[in-house]
Amino acid sequence: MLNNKLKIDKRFILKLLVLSPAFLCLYKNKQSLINITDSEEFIVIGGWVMLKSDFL
Amino acid sequence: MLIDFNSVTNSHQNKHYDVCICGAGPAGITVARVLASKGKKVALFEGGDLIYKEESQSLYEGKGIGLNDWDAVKSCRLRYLGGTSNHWAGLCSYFEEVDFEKRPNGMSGWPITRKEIFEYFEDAKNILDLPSDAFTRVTSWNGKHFKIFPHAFSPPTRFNQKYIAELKKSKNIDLYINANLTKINLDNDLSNVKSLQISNYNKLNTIFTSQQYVLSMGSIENARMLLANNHQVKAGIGNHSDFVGRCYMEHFNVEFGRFTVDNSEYWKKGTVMLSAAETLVKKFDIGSAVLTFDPSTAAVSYGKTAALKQMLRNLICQSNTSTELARKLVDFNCDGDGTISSMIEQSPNLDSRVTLSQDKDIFGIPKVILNWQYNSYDARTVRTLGVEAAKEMAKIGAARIQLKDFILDANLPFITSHHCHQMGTTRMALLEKDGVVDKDLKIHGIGNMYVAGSSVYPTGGGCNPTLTLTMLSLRLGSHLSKLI
Repeated sequence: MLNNKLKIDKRFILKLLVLSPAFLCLYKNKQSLINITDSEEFIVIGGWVMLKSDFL
Repeated sequence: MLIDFNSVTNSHQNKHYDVCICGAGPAGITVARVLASKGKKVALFEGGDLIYKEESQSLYEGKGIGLNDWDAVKSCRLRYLGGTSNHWAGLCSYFEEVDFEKRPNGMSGWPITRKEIFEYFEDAKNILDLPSDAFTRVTSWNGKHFKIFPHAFSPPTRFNQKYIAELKKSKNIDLYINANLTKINLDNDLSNVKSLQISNYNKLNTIFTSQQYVLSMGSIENARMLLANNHQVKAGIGNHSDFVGRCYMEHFNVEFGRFTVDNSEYWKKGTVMLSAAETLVKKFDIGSAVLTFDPSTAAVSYGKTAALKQMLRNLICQSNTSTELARKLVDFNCDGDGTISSMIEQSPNLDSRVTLSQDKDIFGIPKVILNWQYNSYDARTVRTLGVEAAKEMAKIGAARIQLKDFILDANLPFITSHHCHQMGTTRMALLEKDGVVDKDLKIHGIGNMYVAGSSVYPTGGGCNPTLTLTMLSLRLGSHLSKLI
């Protein structure tokens, strides 16, 4: 019982470790967008400020 | 004539001049030369020697409690003949019209016009050895909110080397070295300076009198001497409105991030310096600034394992994926990454200030505490400049900018260093209630004491201060020569 619980916790922690940087990255980009999208002309990905038209 | 005050042995002699000037840096020397050329007798006091000496430099000791620690500040200033010009880099520029205007920000605006200062532009260019065609070469920039920064390079002029022979030969200027201002005495009704006490390093004091007096010792020392001379007026001289020492300003030196070149046409000449256009400054109500884009930096590793670190860096930089990964983990530069530095105007801020410490120097004068602070207006200026520069670069296709987190996230404090451009502390204002000196640089309420140098700047603009302070000093010299 104890061993099983420990295994689950390990897997959960592993998932958290893998996923959290991705969430952090998304969160950061969301923050960035709040500051910069006044004209809907620009997008920020990982801090890089780019024209949206570059992706069309 | 040159007089080493350390060799003076008779402390009872009184000396009288037309003008006494304390501080022989660019401002003091310039005022003295103008007055001498008009036949006025000048005593020019330099606290240091002809060369750097620790005995003099140590009188600049103080404490930094704000954005700067004291070590960063003390290396900015040099306390010997020629002052800070002895290690000045030589970059010159000028204030634009918008820098003199009153803006929505409460304490902006100069009580004099740009035209009043620019009357002395050509003379100042000669003093600073700027080429005759300086500022006339126009380069265009295909943007809306930024333009090419108008600037020129002085050799740079070392006032010590350039003017020592002239000062020694001068019949109208007595240059005293090792001569420290230790007391300012007011007359009985406290409306005029009666005399100055000047001390050598043997603590021998001599009294000097003159018709007019000028303080030109730099932003920190000008404020310190006015505050410390509180034996007749408790708050210090000129401190009627509690402005002496306040509104200490620097130029923020913020690194915005990195960039990659899109269109190499824009970067043919290498580094590009852009200043914020008036349209940008007014549209967003922000400070002026210069942003320097260097497109070809070489990433360097340091320390004992520098060679190994450099090899690893080069390996990582060869793969886009590993570079991005490294950049997510640390602030990681590769060769060829463009870098962005800046010189950004700080708004006048009452809490950014010079005050006196309980500690005293060898003459018994309190040392300073420097509390350099920024406010929310400054934070908005920095972020707006970063974001708008990145947008403009993307729009015209010149480059792609990756901004640092603190530019994009207003919840983070911005990270800055400084430029050794110390300004404010005795700000110029039309009315006594708004500053320390009037538009002629005379201390409000004192009939015969003036202040020269960048401590009188009401705002710092987005440019290097030396050319403007030279023009202001020429103007002050001309004004004083008409009074005597």
